[in-house]
Amino acid sequence: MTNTRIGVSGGGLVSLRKIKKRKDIFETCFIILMLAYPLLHFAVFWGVVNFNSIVRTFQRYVAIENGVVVNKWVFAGLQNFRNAWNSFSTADGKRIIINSIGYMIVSNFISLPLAIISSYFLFKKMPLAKVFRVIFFLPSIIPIVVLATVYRFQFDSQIGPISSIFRLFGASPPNWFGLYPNSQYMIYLYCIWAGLGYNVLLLSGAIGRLPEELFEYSKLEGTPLMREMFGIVIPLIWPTITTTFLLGLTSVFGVMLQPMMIKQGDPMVFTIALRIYNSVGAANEAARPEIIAYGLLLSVLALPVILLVRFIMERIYSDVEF
Amino acid sequence: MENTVIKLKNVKIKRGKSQAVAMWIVFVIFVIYSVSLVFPFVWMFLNSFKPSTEFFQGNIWGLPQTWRFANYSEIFLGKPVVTESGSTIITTVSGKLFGNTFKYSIFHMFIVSIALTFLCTLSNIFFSATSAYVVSKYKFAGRQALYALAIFLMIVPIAGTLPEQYQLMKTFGLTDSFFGVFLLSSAGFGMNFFLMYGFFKNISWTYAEAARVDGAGHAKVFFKIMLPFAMPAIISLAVIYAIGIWNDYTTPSIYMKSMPTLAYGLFVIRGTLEARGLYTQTFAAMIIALVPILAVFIAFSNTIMENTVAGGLKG
Repeated sequence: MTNTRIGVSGGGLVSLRKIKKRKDIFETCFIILMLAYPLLHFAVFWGVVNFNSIVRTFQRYVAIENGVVVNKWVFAGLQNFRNAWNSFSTADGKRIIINSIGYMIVSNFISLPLAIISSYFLFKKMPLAKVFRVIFFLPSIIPIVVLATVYRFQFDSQIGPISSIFRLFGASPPNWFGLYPNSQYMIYLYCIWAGLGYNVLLLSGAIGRLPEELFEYSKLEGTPLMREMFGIVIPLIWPTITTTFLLGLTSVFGVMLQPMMIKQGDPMVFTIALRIYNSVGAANEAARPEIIAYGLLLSVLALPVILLVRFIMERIYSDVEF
Repeated sequence: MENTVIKLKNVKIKRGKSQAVAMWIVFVIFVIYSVSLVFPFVWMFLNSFKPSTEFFQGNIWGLPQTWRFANYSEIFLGKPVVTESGSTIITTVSGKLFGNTFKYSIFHMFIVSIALTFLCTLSNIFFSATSAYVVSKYKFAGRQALYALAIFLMIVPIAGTLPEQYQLMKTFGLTDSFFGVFLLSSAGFGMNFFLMYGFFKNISWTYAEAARVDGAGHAKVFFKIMLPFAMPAIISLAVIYAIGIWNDYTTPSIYMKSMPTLAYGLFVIRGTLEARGLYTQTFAAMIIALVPILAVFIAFSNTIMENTVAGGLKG
């Protein structure tokens, strides 16, 4: 119909262009309206915050100059980065880094392999598989305050059931959360206990989406369970494993609440994130640039590692469409 | 082809005994792990009904001899608890309400948490939907960049920016404000953007084209056709996001100290109660905090679990 109008008169062509132009304007307006707030939010709370953070790392705070209160920020070159770098080699700095890396090791080299094995067996029509899935998922939805409290009470030297079991056998229970590094190991144990179920759920879901025929053929061939797991299942769910592994890597920077809830206030179990969190709102303005430099420096150091691990893991098994 | 599959399914091939043994060993491990997850809550639940004296006199394992329901009412309503030594413990958290000093009981924290969870979820899901819809369905300059940005934000951790975020909020006068937390959560390019992008991408554009031919505008297509299509997925995302907001300790502990949510207030109350040896009341507080989350889980368990599995992960 439109073509007919074009053919009939030049005026029709003009009106078609007008309609098209009007449509484009409406579409553009719609796109702008839909994206306006999300982009503004992103620009302010990500863009400005990150920009300010970077600028701040090159500044230092001067409260008094020549006996006069000035309260101003001045250029400091790379001094904050130097200070942050030097803080890595102090006893506290080393411990914070080690504690934080520990979460990555626990997450990727203990929790993840356990989750892979568990999810495979859950998938293999194990009795009560559905019940297990629900129970395993529970820690993911329970507030961490509650979960951490429950965990701590289990090991309480006076009333805790686990300590009571020790006493039942005539042994005195150790001071589980007392001294470092025991307290740190107990927090790692908490992370495995509370975090395993979530990974199991993610991975068993990934296994559940594999074509059933694969397992039927494997069964026909009489493939042993272990070979089926390492030869078929793991290669096929590798993208999920890769993502979970990468998220585990980022736990170096993210873990904060676990040590805070279990050993509140104990600097021995501080992590990178907890150190940064504790600095928020601190009255000492002068310390802010260094803590930001500390975080940014660690992020810059970690980025190539994350990208390299991703690069390597993506090449271990090729992505298969099914 | 289907017949072949059916035939294969009917073939029974027994795997070795060792494999059955392996399966049972793993089963036992699962049972132990499950018990370790469930038992502490049952233990805490039973002990939450005991008077402190009974608990400290050694009845740690058994059923309560005296059922003290007041543990719950005291904690929930913020009534003062009298210890054995006769001292009175306040079970509220001091804060502010409309500029005036206010003592928040767990009941009040519930209300704050419900309001915050509802508004934050609504805003985040809505703005994630608007941005995801436009980026997935419209062709315009920079749309690939926006998608890449969402992936970048998800993968790359940037540590150390929290102090500057706090300063920015301070500049806006939002460091102790309900609205500040609401504003922070109303982002449109977070994890939910990424997931919704996938939902909208999979919805056929033919419906929109048909509606456009019938004279529907872009907004009408979005609100009347695309949103209803994506609604089941959006609801599941909303439930998962809401649980995250409900449980969030960090943000309220920084930006809403004077108006404690349940997650933050519970941490403060726990400290007070434990320090005075009021363990049974501590247990009651923990159980109270669990009730709403368990109710949501029971109501939406399938939705939550299936979509957590989906969770944007391909495998």
